[in-house]
Formats: sequence, C-alpha cells, structure tokens
Amino acid sequence: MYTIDTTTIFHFLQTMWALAWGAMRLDPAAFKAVEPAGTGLLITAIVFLAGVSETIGQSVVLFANRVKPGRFALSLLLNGILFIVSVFILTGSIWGIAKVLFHTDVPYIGLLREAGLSYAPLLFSFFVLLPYMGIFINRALSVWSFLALLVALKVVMGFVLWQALICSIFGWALVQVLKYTLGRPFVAIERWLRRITAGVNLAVESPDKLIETIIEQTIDNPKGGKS
Amino acid sequence: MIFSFIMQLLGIGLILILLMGLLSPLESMGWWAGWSDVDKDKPKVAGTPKDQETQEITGQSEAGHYVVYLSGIGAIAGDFLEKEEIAFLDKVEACVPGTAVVRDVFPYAMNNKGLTGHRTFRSLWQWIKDLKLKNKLLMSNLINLRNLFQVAVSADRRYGPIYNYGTAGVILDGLRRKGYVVGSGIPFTLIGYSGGGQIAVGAATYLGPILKAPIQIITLGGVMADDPGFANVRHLYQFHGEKDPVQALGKVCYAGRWPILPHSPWNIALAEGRITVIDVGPTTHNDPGGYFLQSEEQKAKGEHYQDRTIDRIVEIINHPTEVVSFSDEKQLAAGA
Repeated sequence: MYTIDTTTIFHFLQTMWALAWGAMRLDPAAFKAVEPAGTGLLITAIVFLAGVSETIGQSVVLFANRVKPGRFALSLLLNGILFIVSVFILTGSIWGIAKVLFHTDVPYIGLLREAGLSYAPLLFSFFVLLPYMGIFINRALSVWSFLALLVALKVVMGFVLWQALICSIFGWALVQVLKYTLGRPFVAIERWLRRITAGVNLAVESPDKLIETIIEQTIDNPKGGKS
Repeated sequence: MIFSFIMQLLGIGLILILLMGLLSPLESMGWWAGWSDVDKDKPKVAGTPKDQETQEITGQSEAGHYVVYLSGIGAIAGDFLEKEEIAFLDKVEACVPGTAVVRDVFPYAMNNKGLTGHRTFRSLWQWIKDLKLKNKLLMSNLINLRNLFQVAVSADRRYGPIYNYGTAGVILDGLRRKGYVVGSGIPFTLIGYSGGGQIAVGAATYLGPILKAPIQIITLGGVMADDPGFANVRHLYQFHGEKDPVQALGKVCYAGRWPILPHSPWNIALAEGRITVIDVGPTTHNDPGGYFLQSEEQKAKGEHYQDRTIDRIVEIINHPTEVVSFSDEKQLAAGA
C-alpha cells in the first residue's frame, strides 16, 4: 500500500506526502509502513516541517516582538528542530508509561517513528494564520494530531483505545510535570535558544496581554515604545 | 466537462480566497515589526499614538466636537468616498455647526494610504477603481474581500491589538488635521458604516487612554465583535435596517456577543446600558435603499428613512456627553 522510496528527492517528497496524508486519514497502514528501519529521515522531515508550519501559524508572537526578517526565518528553522526534540521527549514519556502500566516490550525507537508521523496534521498549522478561523483551526489540528497519536499507539503497541488514551494522556501529563520540575534547566535553555535566534528579548510570549503591553510601551511609557 | 471546469474554477477561487486570508494579517504585523517602510514618508507631526501622547499641549482644539467617519469594506482610499456617503456627510456637517467632520480616513490600512497608493498591487486596485467608476461592480468584490479580512484582523484577539493600534494612529492623524489637540478632552464621535463599526470600536482601545475624552460611536449596519475597546466607549448607537442581514453577522460569528458569555466586553456594555439599537426602518445594507440613499421604491412611497437617520445622528452628535433617547429605539437587555 505505501511504498517507501527515497532514491531521489522527488520520490522522497512523494513518499513523505503519501505517509503524511495516510496519517491524516488516520490510516493504520501508514503507521505500519514506517515500522521498518530506514524511514527515520522521512519522519524527521515531516516533524521538522510541522514545526516550521506551526511557527508560521503562530507568527504573531514573533511580529509582536518585532523580530527582523532574517531572524524570523531562523526562528522558523529553530522551531522545526525543537519540534523534533519534543517528539523524542513525548515519545519517551509515553513509552515509559506504557512499559510501567502495560509491560510492553516495544523498543523506544520503534514507537518514535510512529509517534513522529502523528504530527502530520500539524503540517497544516500555517492555516492558523487566518484571522477569525485560525484559533479554531489550531484546536482542530491539535485534536487531529492527538487522534493520529492514538492510532499510532494502537498500531505499534497493539493497544485497545482506552490503553492508548491512558498512555497518551499520562505521557503528556508527565512531560508537563517535568517541565516545571526536573526539566526547568532545559526549558531555560529552550527560551535562551529562542531569544538568541530571534535577536530580541521575547517579552510578549502570547497575544493575550498585547494590549496592556502596547499601552505600557507606547502610551504610559513612550520612551520604551516603537521608534 | 462544463461541471469539471466550473469545479476547477471554484477550486482556484477558494485557494485565492484562502491565500488572501493568510496574507491579510501580514500588512499590519509587518508594519508593527518595522518590516515595511510605512512610516518613512510620514509627516513628523502626524504620527502614531505615541507621538501624539508625547506632544506638548500648546493650545485649544479648533472645534467644540469632532466626528470621524469610517467607511465600509467597499472603501478604496480615504479621499475616495461613494457619492451617497459624501452627500450624507455634507448634510450632517451642515446641521452641526461648531463640529469638525473628518472624512478622509482610510480605516483598512496602517498609514491612511488607500489601495491605490504605493502598494504592490496598486495597478490592480486602480483598475478595479476605474471599473467601479464605470459602474462595473463585479471586481469590486475583491476590494470587499480584502477589507473584510482586515475587519476580521481587527476583531481577532491575536492581531487586533496591533491592527487597532495602527488605525487609532490613523484616526488621530485625521483629528489633528482638523485641529484636534491631544489632551484637550474635547469629545468626539466615530461613525462607522458596516465594517467601519468594528474598526471604530477596536481603535477606541487606544483612543481612550490617549485622548482621555468621551468617545461615542454611531454605527450604520455595523458589524462588530466583542472587542475589548467597548470598555472605552461611552455610548454606542447601533442603527440597523430591517432588511439588513449583514449587521447581524457580528452577533452570529463572535461568541462574545452570545448571551452565554455575560462577562464579554459587549455583554458588559449592554448590561451597563451603553448600547442603544435604533431601527431605521425597512432599509438594506447597501444603497440605494440602504442607510444613505433612497431607492426609487422608497421615493415612490414617500419613505424618508435616510433623512430620519440623519436627523437622529445630528441629535446624537449635538449631545456628545449625554445619552440620547428616541421614541422607537430598542435598549438591548444584557445578553441580547
């Protein structure tokens, strides 16, 4: 059904799209197809592009912090790389939970490819840029990607739905706990990387407080404002 | 064969609309980030809100009250209004002596430079404008679509804070051109037709803290979201036509205007009695037969809804610090 052909760039892209489209259709065969070794680069490319696409969709944060065009492009690339790292971490967490709760013997690297493929719906994250519909699209893509992860877990671990649900939810929760405990130095490194790549202090972390920030910078304290 | 061709055309059209939508926030975002050269040729005295704020107050405003008109999504440039809009503003202006009327603001760009100004697609917009002047209106829908997306940008909680800061600056420039002095506390009224309603409310977010003056907004078929700018609006008068389905879009599309969210800026304004809805009669969104121009049918029947609307707007403008009541108005209940 899915032929893995990476002999030329054209075939690589064709195979990558076929796998991504299969994952988006939640087709178990697509996840089965990436089980053999040698598909790592394809999955890495999908996750990287999903990361770039997500940064485009959320680019209001970079614009709000007045990141220069060159730095903007670099930030896109950095987020692609950070997305790859995040797949390693989330997969590790899910794999650990599955091992403890359900005593699975699937190797970590096996799960890694399938979990990576579940990021495929996020290739469309650039649509989050759309005004009005963007926020809804963002949520829909997150749910879509989560569903793809459940299919991946069912395929690679042989889980039934509730087991896949427990592993993915607990796996996600463990990552959140780690973020605020043992993982704090890594979060600090991530922020530092984002800051030096953007070339500015990323004071605006989300658009939620943008009005207050603009009023503070340009009206209450104009010297710190737009020049 | 024909069906497949039509489907292909529809597909291409959909892709183009999506592309326009995706690119729509970039103009204002690029402006804020300093990517565009928007401010390079801008007169120093007429700058962004920051410039206004830091400027020393040296005198009194020339007029006792100011009105700024913000056109609908069919607008091409600040210096190009439809003839019915011009006639409407002329009539209003004649009835409000001592009030300065600003009518050259283009609310769908950060620099008051219309679509036919220095832009990448200037030739395209100029071509559409020429067609419009010849009454060939099909291509004008591209202008409507472009500006509709800008209204959506203004209403979007992610982009709105930046977009509305830009339009607040453009409105301030317009006020200053008519002699408004920042800090004088002189009240002003924003009149927004259609999408201009959202732009007016969005800009109020910053005009409030900058000018520290009473702001009232009059909308004609205004399409608005639950914008945080409502917090700075002293009173909103919403004129709506009975045959106007467009003005209801904001009520349907933005959850913050639904009764289930009583703490949204819109519902708070409603609960505080700061919104008055005025039925202008069986008028449509567009003219003739809309808010500005009588249709032949209305003429034949001797119906003068547009004149009555002008009378009421004049009444509101003449009472900028009061709440004006009309016998047949509808004071919306909270959550309506």
